[in-house]
Amino acid sequence: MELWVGAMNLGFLYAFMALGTFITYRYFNIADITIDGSFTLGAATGAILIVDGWNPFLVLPVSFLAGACAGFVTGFIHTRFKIDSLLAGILVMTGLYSVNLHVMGRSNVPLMNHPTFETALTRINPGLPQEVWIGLVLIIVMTLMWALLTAFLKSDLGLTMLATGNNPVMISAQGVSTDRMKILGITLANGLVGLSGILVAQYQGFADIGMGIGSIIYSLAAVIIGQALFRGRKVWLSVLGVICGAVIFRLAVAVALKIGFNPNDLKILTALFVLLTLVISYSLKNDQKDNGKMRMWIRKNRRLLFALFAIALLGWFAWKSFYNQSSQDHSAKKTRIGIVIANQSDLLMKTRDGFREEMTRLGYKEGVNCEIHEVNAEGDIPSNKTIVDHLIADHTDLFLSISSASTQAIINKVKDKPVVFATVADPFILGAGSSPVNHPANVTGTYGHAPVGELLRILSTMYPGPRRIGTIYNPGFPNTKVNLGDLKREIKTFPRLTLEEASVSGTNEVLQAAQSLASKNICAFVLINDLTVFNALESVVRVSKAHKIPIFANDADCLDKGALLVYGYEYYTSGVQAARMADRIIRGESPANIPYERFAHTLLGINKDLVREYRLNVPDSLVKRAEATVSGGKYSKKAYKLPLRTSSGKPVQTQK
Amino acid sequence: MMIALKNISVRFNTGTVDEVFALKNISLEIGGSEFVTVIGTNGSGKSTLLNVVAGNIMADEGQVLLNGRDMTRLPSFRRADVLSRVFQNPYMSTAPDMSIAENLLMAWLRGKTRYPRFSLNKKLMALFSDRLLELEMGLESRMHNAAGTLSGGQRQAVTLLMAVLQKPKILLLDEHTAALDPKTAAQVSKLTTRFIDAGQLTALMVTHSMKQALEMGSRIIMMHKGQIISDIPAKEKELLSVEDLLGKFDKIRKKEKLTPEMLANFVRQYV
Repeated sequence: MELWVGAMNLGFLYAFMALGTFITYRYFNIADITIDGSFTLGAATGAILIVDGWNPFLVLPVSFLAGACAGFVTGFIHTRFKIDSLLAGILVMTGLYSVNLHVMGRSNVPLMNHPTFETALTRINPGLPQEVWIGLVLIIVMTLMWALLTAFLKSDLGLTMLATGNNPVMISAQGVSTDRMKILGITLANGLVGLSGILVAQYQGFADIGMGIGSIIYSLAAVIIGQALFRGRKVWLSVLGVICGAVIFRLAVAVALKIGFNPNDLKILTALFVLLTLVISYSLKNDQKDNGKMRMWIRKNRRLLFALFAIALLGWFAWKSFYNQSSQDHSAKKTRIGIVIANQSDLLMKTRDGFREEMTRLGYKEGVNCEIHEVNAEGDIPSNKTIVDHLIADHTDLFLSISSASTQAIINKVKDKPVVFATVADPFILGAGSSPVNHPANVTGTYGHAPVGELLRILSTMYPGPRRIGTIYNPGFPNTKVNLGDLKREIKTFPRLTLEEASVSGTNEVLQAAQSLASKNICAFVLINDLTVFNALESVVRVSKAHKIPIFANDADCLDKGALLVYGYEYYTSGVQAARMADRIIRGESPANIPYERFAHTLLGINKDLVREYRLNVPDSLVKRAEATVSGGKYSKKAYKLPLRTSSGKPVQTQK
Repeated sequence: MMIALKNISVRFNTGTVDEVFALKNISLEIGGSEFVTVIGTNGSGKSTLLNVVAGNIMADEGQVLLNGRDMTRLPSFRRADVLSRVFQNPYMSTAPDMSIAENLLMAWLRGKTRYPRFSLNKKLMALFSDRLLELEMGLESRMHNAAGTLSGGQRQAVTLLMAVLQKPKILLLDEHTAALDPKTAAQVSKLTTRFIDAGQLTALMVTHSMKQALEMGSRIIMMHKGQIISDIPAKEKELLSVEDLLGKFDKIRKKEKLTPEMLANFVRQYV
């Protein structure tokens, strides 16, 4: 129930965005990609103001205005400079990425401990389940929105906008500037998108730099579903259709999750669905001069095509659900563990492996005394929330969240079931408590960011004298912000070192960033933990080899990939620690009494081959300390033990 | 003067070897309530002339004064308070997805600011209904139908009504009966004359039919190669026949060494 109502509510909030796309797409035949940026802009602006102490309802018009400004810029560029609408949208969207980062000052703004429309509604809840109550309120709000937008579109101004898209020659002959009408339409549409952004941010509990990605395809899908629901030119029906379309789309995501569908596949399905509908609607147009064979064939067989699509989909669903049924056995005494992972990145997968393997070592066997249900959001931020709803509906007893984004989604939602998080740099900026012992009663986990100070100390002993070091990072990740802050603070204690920075927004920029740093005469790359740089480490290694500039990294997994020296923790151990916490909770301890743990094990690793190659002076004591080495091209690691802790936090014994 | 064109020149493909003069140093004055028809061969510049007045094409040189105001540089939508326009293609003058009433509303709002309010009330619907009655096409009972469902003739009639709904000073007609069958064309022509007479409008009509040029309007302008070759005032026009007009073109033929085949082609096209 909660899953479906939650999906409906999310659909309602996304409906504002879909209505914006409805205006640009149906009225002016523009697929306005600006919304990918203005959605985030609305969320960012609103979230920052809420953190600043603004009323969560008062920020709604501000977010509307912020989105509208973005739309105005697109409209202006498109009409004034005659730049293609799609290109104008891409330009503004690209620029907004930087604007959004500046507005938030970081990549993610949590709203967990701030008032949102949800907390305001909870206060006047007459006793209904939370989601149902919000759903009821949203139904009323959407009805109002429906009436308001219909009225606007039926007014003199709305009809003039319709006429502008329908027949620009005619309306300009009637004294209307088509340019101004287009600007107005795109502005209004993006205002609605900005509004949608802050509403979604409040509902999911945070604003994130990546939350707008793919908005255009979702809202186009919603508009197209709406069009399919209610044909004809009645405005009130079209508007209703779009709202329903947005809800149906979110419900489809929930269905897909319910039957264990990979959300990643949902993207190609959405794309195919939108393509199919567009192709068919193109073929149905009568006043086209070309009547090619293919068009006529599509026209004749359009129902067949839809039926085939539906059958293929249903078949896939049926097979999937059958497959799931056979692998799931619902009996009473098993602990149901739900794992939410933000994306497929290597680090998160290592944490996952650590957790699962340690659980097995601790005596948990899937299908025997526990059920582990793992869902990956595949980088899609809103999916985290739907996944959590789905796991709640699935009677999950214990949640494990891997990564900050997933943790944020879970702790905002789950208040009565234990939650363990892993691989989170700083749980406190996510709003999960204020200290390792003072935290939400149902939440515990492992956190920590790599000891960058120690890394710098090692580096300074190897490189005496004034030196420059270079670092690369992606400001679009919340953890990076924490790690970078550490680096900048720590480097102040090493007055001989100066820091050169290069920021990137994606993996394909890393190579150039590394080259630019190499040209600044740095003695070493110092890499803080950053998913983007980790995923593009090969690029840094290439530059490192070409210029003989060694890599010092906080990420232990970099060692066998070309780093000279690593000092940090292994993500695997984060999963192991989380598993032990989960074990304590399953045995009856309350998470409230389990303090957050910093990562228990840090690892020092040295690549001896590179030390020789670069003719570096490495103190023997350091080499002896190294637990992992690469020598003669071979990676080796000493076995180590993790201390097991009691609820008091004291280590009592080493295990195995 | 209602329309005054001073030394207008329009060039196409400026700066290339294909540069041509669409209009070459044209001056023209049309007084209030005058109904002028423009005839000419293909490429004579008659449509360009109309577009220069309407603001769809900007003159490279010269001045356009409408109702005494210099509008040379104003885009078409900013001239709409003075002039309205009917296009040759019936599809160009109405919004096909909007109802007849909504299309009329768009025209009724010409020259007014379009606020988010509802002007289309019962009173206005009654007014539209009365005006549609004048068209004698039974459209008053179909006001809620989409304009896209109308025939070409019905659309042109509605367009004509839209053009005069808010009385303009100047009406521009761009071969507006050319795409219609003869019977409907006659009906639309009749309506045109009636509306122009009733409103005492200044009208400029481009036509391809010499017969129509003679039957309608008070003054004829003949164009050729971007220039006005003949300006026939009302008094003289009444005495003219199609043959006389052809005779005038015949003179050009001699000057330009037009072949008899081309002339035959003219007759086929224009008579």
